Amino acid sequence: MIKRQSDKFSSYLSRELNYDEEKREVLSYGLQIVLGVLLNVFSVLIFSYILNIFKTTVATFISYIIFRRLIGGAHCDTYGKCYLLGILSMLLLGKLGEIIRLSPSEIKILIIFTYILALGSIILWVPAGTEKKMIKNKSTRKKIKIQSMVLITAWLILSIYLNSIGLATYIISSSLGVILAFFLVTPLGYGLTSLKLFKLNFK
Amino acid sequence: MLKNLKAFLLSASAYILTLAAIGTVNTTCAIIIYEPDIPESIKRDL
Repeated sequence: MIKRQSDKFSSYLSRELNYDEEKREVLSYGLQIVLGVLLNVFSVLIFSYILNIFKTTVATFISYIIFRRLIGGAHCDTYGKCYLLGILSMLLLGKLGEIIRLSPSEIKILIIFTYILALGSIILWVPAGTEKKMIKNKSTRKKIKIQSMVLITAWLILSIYLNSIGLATYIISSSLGVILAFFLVTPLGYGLTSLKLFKLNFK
Repeated sequence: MLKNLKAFLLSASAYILTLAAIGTVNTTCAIIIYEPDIPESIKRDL
């Protein structure tokens, strides 16, 4: 549906602006990205608000996006699956963040566990590409690894600070978002998203 | 006047969409949701 609407609108724009087919394809691609992201973000915000898990879901979602943009990771093969899995995982983790209660020392363990898991993934798999986009250049890969390490260390420091001022719920939610982002760069994450768990045929 | 406004809005839309398209093929911008097929004209070796 998103592709069809993007193609329609990009054809209209190209006609009006006298663009060739090459430029039309770029416009359609850009529109698919914009619509996809907007639909995803608004769906997560609306459903989490309805389910009364708004704050924890937003904490999970923001942490997930910040890392996911940099480290990459697995994608589903259709927009429908990606949308459904994305929304469900965010809502589930948001709900978990809401119900899990941990003591400050247990939260410290969770933060350190997340940090070690992330560091291991960075060393082994980041940046994780897909068939459509793969970063092969060695110096670029090294640069992204360093940026990811800086980012996860900044997250560690911020989480320890937030823990000290009693914002436990948000740290748990944020950790879950970070864990999901890094899980999706592992071979297990790639395996899970490529499984034919359900037969949906959204276009 | 209206014609100019329409032309401006269309050009601005095209500019934003092109920016979004080129921005997502950048090295430090993995797409958070489904990846559409990248057009050949902006595909590059990373």
